Amino acid sequence: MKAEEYAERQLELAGWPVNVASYRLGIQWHAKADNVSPGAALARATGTTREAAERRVLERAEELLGRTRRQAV
Amino acid sequence: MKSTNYTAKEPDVSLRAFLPQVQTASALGASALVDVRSPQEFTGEILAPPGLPETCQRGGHVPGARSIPWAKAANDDGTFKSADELRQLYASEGVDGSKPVIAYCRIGERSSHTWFVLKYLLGFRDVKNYDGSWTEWGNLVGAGVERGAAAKAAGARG
Repeated sequence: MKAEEYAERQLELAGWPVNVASYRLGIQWHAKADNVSPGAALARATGTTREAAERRVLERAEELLGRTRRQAV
Repeated sequence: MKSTNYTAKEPDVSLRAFLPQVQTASALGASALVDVRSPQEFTGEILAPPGLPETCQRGGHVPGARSIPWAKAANDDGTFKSADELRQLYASEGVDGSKPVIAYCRIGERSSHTWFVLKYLLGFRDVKNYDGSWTEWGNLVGAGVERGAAAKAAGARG
């Protein structure tokens, strides 16, 4: 099986840049969010549509990014 | 499928820097310390890359370390920069291979990339990866921690 309809975009979540990639494998859609720098995967999710997979992955990524505390320097 | 046996070689610990070596480098400046984390981690504004677990108690960097984020060694398309560009990148922070180099990050993963660049693309003779990295130093009782931007390379230890 090969990934089809691959799409990637960058957006901001909880004040941080995030890469979101999504693609279809057979009848299932997969999505992944990473934190751009250093590009570590924050979340992966699946769904029956691209929108559903991305919605889940963005919810989880936002939850994790929201825990990042900024210290006064 | 046929089963077989494989005997691994002993680990080459000469590639790794351990805490006492980093303490010496920080105190005496005999080795250059390269912090390859993001500028925000280097200054202490954040304790880990956004969204990842905070594995240390304090933010900042090892005293004397230079900030050269690992990804600066790469072009936008993911290829490595040319040898001349890499040489200039590290030399601009006083890291020219004239003395041993120790690279570190948070857990030693990003710094292994820089280790490869310094060791094999620039051919520096003595390069080590401090895999204890900020997770060790940033939790260490009594360890010196610098916060904010580093002093300029010229005349600075490192």
